[in-house]
Amino acid sequence: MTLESWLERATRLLAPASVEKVRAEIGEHYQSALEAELARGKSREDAERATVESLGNPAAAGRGYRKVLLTAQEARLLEFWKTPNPIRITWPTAGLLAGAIAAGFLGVAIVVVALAGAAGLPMPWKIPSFRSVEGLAFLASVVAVWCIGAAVFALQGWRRSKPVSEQAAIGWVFHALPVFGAAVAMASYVHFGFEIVTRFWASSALVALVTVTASTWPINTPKRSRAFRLFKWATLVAASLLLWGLVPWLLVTQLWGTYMNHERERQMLRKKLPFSEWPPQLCR
Amino acid sequence: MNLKGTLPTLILQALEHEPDHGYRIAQRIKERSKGVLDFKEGTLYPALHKLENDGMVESYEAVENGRPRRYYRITKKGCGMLAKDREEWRDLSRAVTLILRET
Repeated sequence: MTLESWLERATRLLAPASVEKVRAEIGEHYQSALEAELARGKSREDAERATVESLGNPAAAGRGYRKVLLTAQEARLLEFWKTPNPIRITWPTAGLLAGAIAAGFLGVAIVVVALAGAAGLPMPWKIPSFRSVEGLAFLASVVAVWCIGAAVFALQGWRRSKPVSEQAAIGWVFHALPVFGAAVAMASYVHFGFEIVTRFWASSALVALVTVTASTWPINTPKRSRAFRLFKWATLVAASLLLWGLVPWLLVTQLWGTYMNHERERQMLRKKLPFSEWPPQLCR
Repeated sequence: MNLKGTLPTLILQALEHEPDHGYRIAQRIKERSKGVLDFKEGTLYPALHKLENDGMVESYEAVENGRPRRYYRITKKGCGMLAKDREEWRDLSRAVTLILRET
């Protein structure tokens, strides 16, 4: 194996800046090691082979590097976060985006719940018939939350394009969201009791509180980021408890999915970047 | 000998008295252990970056023999960690020695 092929394998999936760093440091190391081997009287060919061998398995080194240096995917995410209004959100784009995300989550949820029902696992609520008023109310709720999600996406994009002084004035809409969700949940409780529609709205109100409203609060600062993340996860656990009740397998599936989808990559980035370089998205 | 888990401590020890670059850190560890601790040098740099991300070491560029090199130096936090690791290693080593003497 040559140095070049070792480097190619060790730097696979790394960001261009990380690749440059690895190439520079391994290049320096290689040069010193090669000189030492030549000084021991080895031929150039033997010295080169021994030097590359002393570096070890490039795949193992690559795994080590990916844990401590930015990968290409992480670098793209950071770039996306740094770009103001990166996808120039308009109503149709926002609708599609919110719809795609909602459909993904809903699809997974339906498959999991259907499989669990077939396997006879305990369920937190009775599944309503879609011909009943409650069933129709649930469908209408899903569509309503989808539309609200799309509107929030669009509003956030528009808000970011405004000067900071004006951004605060638009913030009232974000405060109204969880209040609205809680009001619908209470109305549903009066009509249907603590069943799926009520749970869905109560849970959505908490998710809106933590994902949309809380970002405008004074707790959302770099210095208080640990406290904010604690608050975020406490609220997400509460939202999951409201939606799924005390059914352990559903709670674990939901929270594990949320962690893998939302938090894992951020956690890796927090370890790799010094605190002073954290974008706001890493603080929450 | 398997170095799994001990490499960061050995790196901090190698940097305790003076800053150094990666190649010399690797050689110093091998020489001081009289060749018993032989590790693949490609794994040294991820460990160094991890220590740097954790604030245990800091790095800077310097020129040696006309060549630019990245030097690493231990921080105050790294010294504290080294002292703690050393103490833990002594306790572990004492306990294992006691057990091995029994048999």
